[in-house]
Amino acid sequence: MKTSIGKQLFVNLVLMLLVLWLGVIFAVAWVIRYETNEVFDSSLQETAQRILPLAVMQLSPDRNEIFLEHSEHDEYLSYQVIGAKGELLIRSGGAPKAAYRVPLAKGFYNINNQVFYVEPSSDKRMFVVIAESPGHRTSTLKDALMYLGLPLIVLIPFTGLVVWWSVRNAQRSITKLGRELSSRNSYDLHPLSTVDLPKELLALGESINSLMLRLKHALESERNFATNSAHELRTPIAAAMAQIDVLKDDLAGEHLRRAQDAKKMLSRLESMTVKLLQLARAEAGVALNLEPVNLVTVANVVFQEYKFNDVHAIRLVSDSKDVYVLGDIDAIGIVVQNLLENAYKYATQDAEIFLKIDAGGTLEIVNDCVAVPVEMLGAIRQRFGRADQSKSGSGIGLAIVDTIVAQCHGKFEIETPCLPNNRGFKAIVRFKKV
Amino acid sequence: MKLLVVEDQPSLLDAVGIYLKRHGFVVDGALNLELARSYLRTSGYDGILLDMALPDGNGLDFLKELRKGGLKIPVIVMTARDQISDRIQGLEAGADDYVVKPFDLNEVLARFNAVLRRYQGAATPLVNVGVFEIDKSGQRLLRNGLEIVLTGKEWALVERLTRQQHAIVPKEDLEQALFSIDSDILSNSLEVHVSRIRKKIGKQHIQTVRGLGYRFIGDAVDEN
Repeated sequence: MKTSIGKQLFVNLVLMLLVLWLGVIFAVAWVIRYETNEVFDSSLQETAQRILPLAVMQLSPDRNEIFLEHSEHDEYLSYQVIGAKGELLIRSGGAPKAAYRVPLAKGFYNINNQVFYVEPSSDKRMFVVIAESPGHRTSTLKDALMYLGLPLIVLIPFTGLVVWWSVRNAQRSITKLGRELSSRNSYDLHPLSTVDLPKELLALGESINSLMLRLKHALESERNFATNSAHELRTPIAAAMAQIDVLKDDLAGEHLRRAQDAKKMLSRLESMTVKLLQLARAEAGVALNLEPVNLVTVANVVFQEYKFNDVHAIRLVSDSKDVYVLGDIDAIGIVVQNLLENAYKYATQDAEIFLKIDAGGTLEIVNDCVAVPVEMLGAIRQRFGRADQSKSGSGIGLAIVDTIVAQCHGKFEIETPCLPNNRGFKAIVRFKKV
Repeated sequence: MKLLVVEDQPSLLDAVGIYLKRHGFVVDGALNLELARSYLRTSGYDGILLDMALPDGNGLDFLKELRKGGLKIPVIVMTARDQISDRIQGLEAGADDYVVKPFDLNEVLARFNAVLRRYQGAATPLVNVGVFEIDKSGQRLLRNGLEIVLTGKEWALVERLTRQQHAIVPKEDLEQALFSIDSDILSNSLEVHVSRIRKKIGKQHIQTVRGLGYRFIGDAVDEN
């Protein structure tokens, strides 16, 4: 499954912001912890140093234990003055009656989540032990972290929303460009509109346009080459065939047969060449420039070409004088020509050929013949696929029709049998009505 | 019937010219537009077969120029371009029909006859002129259903004379219909062809109008 740039960008940005926030919280926590330790330690130290001289002066020679009476209050700091042998000499209201079990040497001690500071007298006979209430520092840090982290519950979804909205907005141009490109068929080489493109996509849009322009020129050259080649080939073949027509009048028997064969071969050469060039033009996108085309006019022009044949009567029926469809006049001409030629070639001797156009832009060409087996329907639309090998033909007529109709955004269908007694062939082209 | 064929490919021009002559037409051939212009200035034609791409210009521009100048004869365009847009352009320029190269000369003939009939107002190929029937597409003269065999030039004369029954056709018009630009016209050759036709159809059917020309009388009473 393909990932979406927008989704990826959204997830990455939100995760990044979350990690950043958490990083900041941990850094702040570390600083707070460091600073509070410094402050608390200093206050423990200061308190001890302040109490020690007072204790020394106050203590009587019998050095009995003194309990200092105070009213009840929250004591974050408590203290004891302990003798050299560990006996309790003085204690504050919040301090326990037993001496703190701390080493009697100057310094800080953390015992069971409680911080102590021990300050000895200069003669080491007395020690002042200052104790913080248990977990005081931890709860201070916890409170600080909680007040720092609490806004995250609101900030994270809000940031996500802002990121989603910004990504979606920034992505709009990319989505529009992608949609415009994907809505085109493979022959649509019109330049993209770059007016609304942001600076970052402008270069891409202009590069695509330049590529399409080069491709369009290449295809145009290919089409023109095919058109001009057809023209250049036809004139000498026409001269050769006309000379044979004249020669035939002076010949008889075997010589006449040979002249007729030569003309037939020339005619086949011309037909095959023209078909191959038509296919080349179709594949180079003969219907690149789609515009409204009067289907009736095109059908009528092709119909005129066949009206002097003495093999099949051809009937052109149209619902209206003007039926405009989307296409290219020459490309639609090639479609009608190939379908009519196909009908003409495969129709039963003396059978009528019907060319029908309805107001919805559908062209039907119907002829009587043996029905084409269903399993061959796919093959006859392929290049060089023929239903009846005994008939002369290039076998690429329907492939040309298929290619051009797709370029015109139309549909090409075949119905066989389409007449009573399991007979007939109907080619249906549904053009896009304008 | 006198036709002008304008085609730059000599071999094709030659073959078309011979074929049409064999079918009773008098044909002048021009390899370029300059020659075609000079032929049109000096001679009258019943039709033109015109190629689209010529060395000294475009056949369609030439056709437009002729139509603008008031030319009212059938013109069929020959084209090697098979695109529908080319054909539509040809018709819009004033062509009456077109043939795509390569073509059967039979088809060219059939198309010319159809267009000529359209110009002469005859929708069907069979025209009754008195006791005669003129088959324009088949180029045959019939009396009581029987064909009177005519040579190409004799047919050309009969066709010209029968376009308007009882109308006097000037001698110059008949000579123009009968001879191409490059053929030698002997002073009495028109009379020779008229005399041969009279022998075949009866002399009372072609009347000499002294100093003016000839008149075809299809319903003249037979002498015998």
